[in-house]
Amino acid sequence: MFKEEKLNLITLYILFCVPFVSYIFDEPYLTTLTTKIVILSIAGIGLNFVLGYGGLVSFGHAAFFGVGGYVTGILAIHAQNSEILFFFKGSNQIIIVWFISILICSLLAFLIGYFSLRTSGVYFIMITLAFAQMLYYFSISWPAYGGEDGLSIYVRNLFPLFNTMNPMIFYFICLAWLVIFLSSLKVILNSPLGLVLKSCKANEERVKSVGINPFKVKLIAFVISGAITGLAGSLYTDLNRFVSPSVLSWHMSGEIMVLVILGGVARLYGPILGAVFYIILEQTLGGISENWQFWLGFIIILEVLFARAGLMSFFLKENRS
Amino acid sequence: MTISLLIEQILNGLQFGVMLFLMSAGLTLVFGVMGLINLAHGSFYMIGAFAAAFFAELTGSFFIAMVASFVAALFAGALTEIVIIRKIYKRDHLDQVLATFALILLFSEGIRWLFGAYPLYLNIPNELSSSFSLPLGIMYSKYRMMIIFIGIIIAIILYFLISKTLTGIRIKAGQNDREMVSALGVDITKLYTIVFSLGAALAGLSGALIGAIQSVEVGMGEPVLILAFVVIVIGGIGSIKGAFVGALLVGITDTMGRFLLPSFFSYFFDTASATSIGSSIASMSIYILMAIVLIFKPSGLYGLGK
Amino acid sequence: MKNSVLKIDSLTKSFGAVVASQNISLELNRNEIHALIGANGAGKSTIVKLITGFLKQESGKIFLEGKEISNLSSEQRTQKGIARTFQVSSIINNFSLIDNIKLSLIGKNKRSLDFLSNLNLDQQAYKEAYGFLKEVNLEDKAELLVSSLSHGEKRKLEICIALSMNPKLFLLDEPMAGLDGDSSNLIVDLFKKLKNRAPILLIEHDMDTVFSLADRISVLDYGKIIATGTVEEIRNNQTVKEVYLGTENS
Repeated sequence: MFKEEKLNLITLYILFCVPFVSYIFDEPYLTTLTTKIVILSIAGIGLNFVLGYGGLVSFGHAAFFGVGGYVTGILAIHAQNSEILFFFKGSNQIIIVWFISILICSLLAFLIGYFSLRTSGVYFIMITLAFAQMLYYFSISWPAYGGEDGLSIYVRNLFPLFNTMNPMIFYFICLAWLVIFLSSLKVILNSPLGLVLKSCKANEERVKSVGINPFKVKLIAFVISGAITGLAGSLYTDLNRFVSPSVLSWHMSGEIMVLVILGGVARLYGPILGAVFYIILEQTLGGISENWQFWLGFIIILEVLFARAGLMSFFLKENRS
Repeated sequence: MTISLLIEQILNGLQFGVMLFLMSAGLTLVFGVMGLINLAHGSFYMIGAFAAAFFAELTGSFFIAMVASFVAALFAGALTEIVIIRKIYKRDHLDQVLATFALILLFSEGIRWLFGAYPLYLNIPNELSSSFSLPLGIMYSKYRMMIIFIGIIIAIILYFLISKTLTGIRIKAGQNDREMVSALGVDITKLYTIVFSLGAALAGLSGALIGAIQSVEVGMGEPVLILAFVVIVIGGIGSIKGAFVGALLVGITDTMGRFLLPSFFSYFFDTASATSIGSSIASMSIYILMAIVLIFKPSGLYGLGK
Repeated sequence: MKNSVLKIDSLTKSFGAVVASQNISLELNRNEIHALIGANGAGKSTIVKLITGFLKQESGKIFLEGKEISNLSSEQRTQKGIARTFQVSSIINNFSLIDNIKLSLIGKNKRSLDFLSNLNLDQQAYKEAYGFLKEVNLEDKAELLVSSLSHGEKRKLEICIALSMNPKLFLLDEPMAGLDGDSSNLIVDLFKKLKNRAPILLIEHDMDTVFSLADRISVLDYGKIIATGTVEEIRNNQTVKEVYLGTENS
């Protein structure tokens, strides 16, 4: 595992340096782009926890990304308009917003997980997709927060002492969250629950035969996963100062899944590599052709057929499957 | 709210359900027989609709357009199966989800490149554009009535195909024990191609039929695909009967929900709020139905319990 | 009654028209190895699933040390004290040996919901797991992956996992499947160790082993128990002889 740790540190180091590089070359766009990469990485890391380590193929993680995004947008709008929401004035204090987003996404993950985890295999995939779709259609038809047109919040939420509208500052806030989640997951994966989760992926009957109830473990993992991806959604709204139903779409779920798998399933830093690759593709190919997703599809198929283990294994030159 | 309006909505629900059945039948068969989860099924719906629009424009004949949709989707299905799908039957679900998701991207962007970003138009043929006169003074669209009939006829054909023909029996056997069937010398490869292509063709046909009522555009297949997923989760994966029952349940629940809920809420709220609350909850109704079914029957109503 | 560790009372289970288990009654007492034998297809694996809770019986009851467990889930039954081995190995191949034991210790010590402690740095967990590996002479392979073990060693590991659960009884499901003579003997030695800890319900179809090890034998044929008794009694049982005439030994 030594080589993997080295690669992980190099990745973090590069991420840390990016804003300074973009400052030197006077390309603030680079910082904003890398912020998007970091946020998508966080979303992917949340999903990778249950998908890569737990074997739970959730095709509905956009539910958490989107709800985190909308909670943030809604709280901000109410604070800006001073309208009352459930006896509450809304908030544009980012720390409060983060807290509420994580809380609501955890609850949502508990609810969705409670129903979905009773099933497995194909049913699980379809049900998680279906629940996310339900929220998607709800967000389109509920008129109060923009419906299909989305919700603009104009200004980022406020962080004490620092100006979040400064791209570099906002970037480091997101990077800090990335590091926090990476460390937390490392701890959790090394814990008893982590071992049980990995065992559920390998052989659930074995887990039951040593007296463990897999449902509870999977549910807790699912809640943690939803909370992480949800916070990513919250940061995404602040980044763009805008949120729309597309963050709840199945296409979003697919994108998050794609970047987890491209990077390498069950590699802690895999989603970061996946997000980098995905955004680079989007920027380069997208610049050439409007139909760049055709090539993305082509690359994914090649990857599934021939390079199953993902980018991280490619860089580490291992033959893991 | 009159009785005639109610009946008209029930008929709409039936029409919606029947179209969902055409989508779901292929999906559930493919899963039941080959164990494959196929996200690209919605793309065949889209391909059928585009083929129909193209040939309707070209030949002016609606009938030819429908045949073209079936054939085009059949061909697309066969090609996809041979080139890619075949290679992923033995892979785990994650790989199948990814590969078929990638296929959606390929097909969507491919169609967009071929036909451009704007929707195409497919018109209801003149003979069917008027309404039937039904009892109780109801006027119902002839075209929609035709869809209901076509759907029921196809359901009956499928039923006979599966239970009475040799191919059908092989398909059913394949659902129960894949290895045994191939050990018995049945050409599994050809069987799989037939099943997959047939499913795609049905999806294409339903896309074409609906394309005349809604618009023909890129991405039209995915919302229907996801509904089809709900249908087969409710009906039970692998069961055609389940797909039929599930499709009708979903079709009617969704249509009646959209129709009744806003009216229901207007007793408590003003019209504008009632409409928004009502239609928002209506959009969630089939998922709530799915959750309820799952509580009592985790493998669906007629699930094979795999 | 106080001697009875596991009591199965008239269990019945059908799959459609096939009656896989019919009025199965069986008792496992302290300090004994009770073997359940039967030809392939006689219904042994159905009974194992009924006992361990992976299948639900249509009628009948199961008692563990006098308390009914018929409606408990499989993980609950394990918690109450049933440890089983699998006929087809269920150990996790891409884990190390010691991680496999740590997993069963997590179950035993009810730590599965603990997501904060570091298992890798946990000295006590390591010592406990290492101790169990030592009992089956696999301790020097503790850090290796299971995939590097021979078939015989994997079988030993299965038994080690069962040992680590400190159960009230062992349910061994064809523990010697696929083993050659020498490896079989090693396993048989382990049985003696197990017997000292808790009684064993041994599911087997190899007659030699059964006759040399078992205290009591029950014979299963087409879903029914046709005879129960000591080795001598079974050897001389007319019904059993008729059923097994023509197969390996009688």
